Order: sequence, then C-alpha cells, then structure tokens
Amino acid sequence: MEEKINREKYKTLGYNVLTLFLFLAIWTLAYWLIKSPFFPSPLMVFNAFLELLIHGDIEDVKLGMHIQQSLWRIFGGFAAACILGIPLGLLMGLYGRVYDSTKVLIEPIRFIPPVAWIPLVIVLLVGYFRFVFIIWLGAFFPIFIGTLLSVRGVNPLHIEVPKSFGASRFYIIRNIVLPSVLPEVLTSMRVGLGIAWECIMAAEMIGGERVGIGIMILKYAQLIRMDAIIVGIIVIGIIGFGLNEIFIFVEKRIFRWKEVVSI
Amino acid sequence: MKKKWLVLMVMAGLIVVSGLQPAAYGAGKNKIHFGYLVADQVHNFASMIMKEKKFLEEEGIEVKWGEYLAGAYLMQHLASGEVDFGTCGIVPAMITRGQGIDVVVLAGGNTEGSAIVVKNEIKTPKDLDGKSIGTPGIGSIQDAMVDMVARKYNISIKKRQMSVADMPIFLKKGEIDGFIAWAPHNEKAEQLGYGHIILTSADILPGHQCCVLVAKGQLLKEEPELVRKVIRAFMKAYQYEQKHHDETIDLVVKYTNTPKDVVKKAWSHTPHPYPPYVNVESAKMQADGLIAGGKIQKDKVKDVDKFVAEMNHPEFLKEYMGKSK
Repeated sequence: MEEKINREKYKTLGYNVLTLFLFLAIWTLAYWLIKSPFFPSPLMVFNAFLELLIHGDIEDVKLGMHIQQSLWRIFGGFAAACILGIPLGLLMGLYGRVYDSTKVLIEPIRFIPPVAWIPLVIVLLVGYFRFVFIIWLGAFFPIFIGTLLSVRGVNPLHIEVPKSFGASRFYIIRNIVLPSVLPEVLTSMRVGLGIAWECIMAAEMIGGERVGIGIMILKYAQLIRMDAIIVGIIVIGIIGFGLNEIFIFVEKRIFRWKEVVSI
Repeated sequence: MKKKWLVLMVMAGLIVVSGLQPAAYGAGKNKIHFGYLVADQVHNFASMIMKEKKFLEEEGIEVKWGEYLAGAYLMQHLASGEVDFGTCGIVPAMITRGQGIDVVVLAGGNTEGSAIVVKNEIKTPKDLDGKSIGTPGIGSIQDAMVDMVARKYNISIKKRQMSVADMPIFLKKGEIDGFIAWAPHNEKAEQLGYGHIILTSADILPGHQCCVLVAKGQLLKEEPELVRKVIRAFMKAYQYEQKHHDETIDLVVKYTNTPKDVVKKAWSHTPHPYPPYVNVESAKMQADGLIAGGKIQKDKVKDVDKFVAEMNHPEFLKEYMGKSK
C-alpha cells in the first residue's frame, strides 16, 4: 500500500517536472518567434535573477532584502487579520443576531477592493501600518467569513446532545464548537494568506519605500526592464506557492484525524 | 477527445502569442492617442492648449487624450503601442529608447523647471547626505537630477518613489526629508509652508532639456503627414501662448488646481525656448548620467552621440520653421 502511494507521489512529481520543462520550451520558442524587447527568454530572466540576487537592483537592494521586507509586511497584515477575523467570526457565528444586526456595514466593506483605500491610507496612516492595513483588508474577510460559516456549519446534533445532558454553553463552545471548526478556520487562514500575498503589489504601489518585491517590480517597470519584472513576478508566485504548501503541510499534520476519518 | 484538447491548446497558445504582439497604433489614418502628464501644464503647456483649443482636430486629427502619472508610465503605454504621441521628460524617453524601443523626439518642450523642496531644518545641499528624498519614479528626469546632486556633492541620498500629488503629504508627515517634482508642485509646497526650495534644476544642470514632444518612431516613415500635422498643432499652441499668455496662465491654474501667483512664480522658473529645438548637449550629458547610474544598460548604448542623434528628429520642426518664415 505504502509502496503504491510512493509510486504515485513520484509519478506526480515527474509530471510536474515535465510540465515545467514544457512550459520553458514553449516560452523559449515564443521568444524566438516574437523577437520583441518586451519578451525576454528564460535564460535572460535567469541572468536577471542572479544579478538581483547577488548584486542587487538599480539602487543596490538585493532580492533577498526585497523578499524579506515584503514577507514582514505580509506577516503584519495577516497576523492582524487572524487576530481580528477569527474571534469576530466565532462571535458572529455563535450569535447570529450580532452578524444580522451589523451586516449592513460588514458586507459592503467586504466588496471594496484594497486598492480603493490607497488614497485614504496615504493620508491617514504612516509607514509600515499602511502596508499592514491594505494586506489586512485583503486577508480579513476570507478568514472572518470562513470562521463564521464553519461555526454555523457545526452539526446541531453535536450541540444538542451534550446540551440535553446539561452541558454549559462554555463547555459546548470549548469542547464541541472549537474542535469542529478548527480545520475550516485553518483552511480560511490559508485562503486569507493567499489573498494577503496577492495584495502585496497593491500595498507596495503606495510608494514612499524603496524595498519590497512589489516596489522592485515597479522600479523595473519604469525602466522597461522586462527580465527583472518577470523575476519579481515569478518570485511572488513561488513564495505564494511555498506559503500555501507550508499551510497544507501544517493542516495535514494537525488534523491528521480528519484525513483518516474522511478515508 | 484528445484531438479536441490539442486543438483547444493550440488555439489558447495562439491567443496568448497574438496578445503579446505590440498593438497597432491608432485606429487608422489621422487617429491618434496623445499622452500627457498629470498636473504638468507649466512644463508642457502645449498639450493643454492643443487639447483646450482643439488644434489637433483643426488639423483633421481625431485624438484620444490620455493622462499619465509620470513620463515612465507614458513610455510604457507608448512602448505597448497604445500611445502614438506625447509630452514628457527626455529622460524616460531615453531610458525607453535604451531598451530598444523605437521612440523618437520631435521637438523640445521646457528646459529646467524642477526643484528640490526640503524641510526647513535642511539648509545646504550637503545637508541632504543620508536624507530621504521623494521622486516621481526611478525612470523620471527628477530622479536622475537627485543622482546628479549626490554625485556633485559626493553625498548619499535615499530616494523614495511616489506620485507627485502625494509628495507634499509625505513631507508634511515627516516621512521624507524633501522631494523633487516638476513645477508648480515645488512652489505649491513652499507656499503651503511644508518646506523650502533648496536647489532648482537650473542649479543642478543649467539649461538642461526637460520635456520633449515624443512619438513612435515608425510614424516618421509610415505617417509623415500625420507627424507634420501634429507639429503644426504643437507650434500653434506655442504661438497661442505667446499671444495669450495671461489666458494660458489661467488654464494652468485650472488644470493644476494651483493659485495664480504660485503658477506665475513656477512659470518664471521654467524657460520655454522658442523655437523649441532640443538642447542636444544637455541630452547627451543626461544620457551619460543614465548610463553611469545603470538606468540605461552600458551594453545597449555604446555611443552616446549616435544614440541621441538617432533619437532626436528635428527635421519636421525645421521644415515647419522654414515654411513659417
């Protein structure tokens, strides 16, 4: 059985490597066909990557520094989204009345894209908190709504049975609701983190800073250096992918029982 | 089933590849997309007058106007094929040409006209050492000016790229120590008491070419008559300003949302030579600076004289001036 699973894993890995090679081959072919200054080859992009990694950008800021700064901003926004989104989601999931009474305010805000807040954010906030706010806006709602819905989705039978045996509300929340919703909360955190990472470009468009992966892309966009722009885009994609995989790994480790039950 | 997938994949590939082709200019003859910069009318009054007085339409041109945050953004749109003509700094135009994109300069605009505004504690250019200065973007002429100041005084300046409209806010909140922008934003910030002008671009590089009228190079060969018409409209705007200076100032007040006295002061710092030929020597000096700063890659521009000569196309303006004598 284990051998079969391992074989399947290697097969999937092989297909992924093949997809990557195919993609690079099509890209190279497109480069030869198009022959445009806007369309660098994979090799040119790789060279730009090495240049940015070793020597830094036009202002001598190295790629690692850009990544570190963007991750630090993401961490701030995402942490704020979790700290506010999870308790609020639990509260509003448990007390539907609270959500129904505040829906008129919450729902329209949910549909305002983070970019629309930028002019206000420039005037009202300073430095690091600008980035945190924009990223928080992006990550908060998936976490909040995911938590809220997961609470509402708890099997009523699981609540009613202990209740009929005289369990207190606190006991039910602690021992029934929280363990039931945790896997969904973690999944919504993963979705929130993905959106937070997507918001980094919008947040770093604010300006006023010289370090950050989004800022690096904007710098090279002004110099019409497509190779460096593509490096930034790929780095954003790879880091987003990496963060997602880490979350999935953690989810699997913590909630192994869920996987076993689902099988 | 497999065949269907293959056809679908080939079609998707073709769509992607065709989407990467540069867009064709205009929708046909006498249809153009003209770009200008936001609140830049002290420098590029000609675009504003052409737009207000419909001088391009008088030449039989159907024009779509586009406003851009800075020259680099205008250049991105020109490089993509969307913009046909525009007015912006010579620096973003040179950077774009340095990347192998066929952008040409048809005429000059203003010379000088930028300034560094700093908080009141900063008294001399040497005091800028280690300070953060806002610039409209790494590809702007103003950003290149800050590099020149750093080189001239042998100091290190931290640059922070941002929109010119946001610069006074960042300065007022103490997030930057100063900024460099095109007129009238410097004079405006000074009047509001946010800081004082420490250096003008006349101090940094006297008589330097600032803005220019640019076009896609292919138009010179494919649509020379269209280029002639644009030059005629551009020159009509210059002549209009000479005859109706006060009205021009009023238009700048309206476009930049700036008090009249501030616009007048800014105008006095911004020479508009006539006829508007490009100051080639200053263009070469700026190109050298861009190469030294890595904004134009050395291997792409080996001969600066040739680079500037190939970019500058005064023949249409010369032809116009010859006929108008």
